[in-house]
Amino acid sequence: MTPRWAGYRILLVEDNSGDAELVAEMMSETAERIERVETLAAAGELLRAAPFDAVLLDLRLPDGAGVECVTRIRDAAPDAAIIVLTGMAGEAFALECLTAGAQDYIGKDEMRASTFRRAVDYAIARVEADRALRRSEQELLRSQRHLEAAQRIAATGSFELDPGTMLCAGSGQLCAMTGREELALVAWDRFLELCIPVEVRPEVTSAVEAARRGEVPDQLEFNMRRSDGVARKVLLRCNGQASAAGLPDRVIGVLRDVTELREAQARQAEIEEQLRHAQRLDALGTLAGGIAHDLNNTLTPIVTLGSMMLDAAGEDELRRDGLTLILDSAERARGLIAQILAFSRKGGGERQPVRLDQLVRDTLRMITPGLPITVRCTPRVQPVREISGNQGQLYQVVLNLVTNAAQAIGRREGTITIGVESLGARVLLYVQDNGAGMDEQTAKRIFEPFFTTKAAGEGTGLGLSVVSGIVADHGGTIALTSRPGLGTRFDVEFPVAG
Amino acid sequence: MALSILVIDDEEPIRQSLRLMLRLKGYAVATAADGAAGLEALAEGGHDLVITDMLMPGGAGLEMIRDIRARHPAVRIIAMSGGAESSGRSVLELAAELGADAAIGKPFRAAELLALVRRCLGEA
Repeated sequence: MTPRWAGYRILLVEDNSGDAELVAEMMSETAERIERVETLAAAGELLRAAPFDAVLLDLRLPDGAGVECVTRIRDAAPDAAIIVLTGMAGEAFALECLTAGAQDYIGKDEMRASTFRRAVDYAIARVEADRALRRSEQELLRSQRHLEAAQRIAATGSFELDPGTMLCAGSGQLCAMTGREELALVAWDRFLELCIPVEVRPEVTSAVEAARRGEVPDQLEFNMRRSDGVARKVLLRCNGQASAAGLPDRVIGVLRDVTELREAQARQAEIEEQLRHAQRLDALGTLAGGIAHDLNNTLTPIVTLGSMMLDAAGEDELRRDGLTLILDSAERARGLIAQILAFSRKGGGERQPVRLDQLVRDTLRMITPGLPITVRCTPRVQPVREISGNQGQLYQVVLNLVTNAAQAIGRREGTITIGVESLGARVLLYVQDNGAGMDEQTAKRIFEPFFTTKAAGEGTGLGLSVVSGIVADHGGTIALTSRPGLGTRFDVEFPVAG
Repeated sequence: MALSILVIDDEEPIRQSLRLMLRLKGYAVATAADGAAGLEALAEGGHDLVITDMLMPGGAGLEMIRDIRARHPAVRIIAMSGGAESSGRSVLELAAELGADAAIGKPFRAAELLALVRRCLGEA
């Protein structure tokens, strides 16, 4: 029988020629490639130059002695099997050599060919087994790191439940998501307590039960609070891992953090809603422009001929009064149409530098006398930088907002506060009343043209849509806060000029 | 001989009321319901002033003003528009730039239009 080590490359480190000859003799039958050196230095050189399968190492050498020899050879040849040959006896010493990296130990007094061969064979086999184990450990570690990194990137944690023992283990990412230190092998009930909010535990449990029966349960979405208090939205899917016997012997649960995703979806929906809203306003604006044009045409014969007849009526009082009434009514209609057109206008209106504080003061001087005596007007106007705007349109904004506030107060007593102040690179104009206020439904639609809460004939429903159109034209924003019964505040912001 | 005015508007009541009013003031009045008919009437000659709508179906009012100005430099032009209060204003401004002698927004009182007519015809 050919010994397994027949093809091995073996290095003998031995300075004693007699011992060396003995070893050579024992191996002479089979070892084809045995090389010998006398010092650790020479051994190191050879081992670094080319790989050897095994090193037979004497521990009393010219340049080293004892366990230190093992250490130096191990450093020079990490993958070679080391078999120590020594006259020193004792199990403690043998153990020391093994700890330092040797695979086996042979006393010089017990050197026999058969012992020797077996020792070399086993030592080499052990090194190979160690190497294979190290490789699979590295592979396992790499695979674990890969999984952890993938879970972190996907914001997805997982757990694995053994239905037999009801023990559960959670991944590192699941720990991160739940803010737990560790989730290695805990009882299922404990796992639920640690990771799953109490209100969804029954659902999660039945999903796991279903997966265990081999079904595919629906995914669950729920809110949970991390141990640091941060609220997250997660999506849970469970799946049974079938065993050879058929029924699942493992349930895998995957928890995906969908907080950002859901927020992004909500934002998207909001933007789409705004877009739809803008398109609706745009369509209404176009429609309103068309209506206004037709109404103006319809009014033309009335105004033209009516005025002509009035001019020719002379002293006929009845005729004069009748025609005046016709013309006044037509004039009112023309005013309404002007409002509709102001709404449907796109851009337009000449721009100039406008000081909103001055404009508000001027406007209030003009409109305050027309307000009901029960309504008090309180200006809080500070000097502000100029904005680029159309004087007439901005006047319309203030007028409409104040009129609206006065109507919200109605016949009761109330106060309207009109403020102008600087807000960084913007100018804030606000109009606040302590009138009727409005609910959320109304507030949502308040800027829509023709939307009105007033009785028929009391308002066109155009005032605030005109305001929002003008504000948007000026690159500004308008927002409102309102509480039913407490009042309403409109905040209008314009960018400063330049 | 009476001065002659051509009224171009797609709406019959407007053509009628302007004809009525201007005739009463002593002008000879012809009417056309669209730009093409208006240009035809002008080609026949004899008109001193055109009062034309700016927003008519199928007709680009601004182009018409340019055409009239190019082909009939002696004819005065008054542009009118039903969108005059805002979006129409720019149309009227453009009409003035293209050579309209005056512009007016609908609806208007008889006296307002007459003042423009007289000014354009050099009567005022």
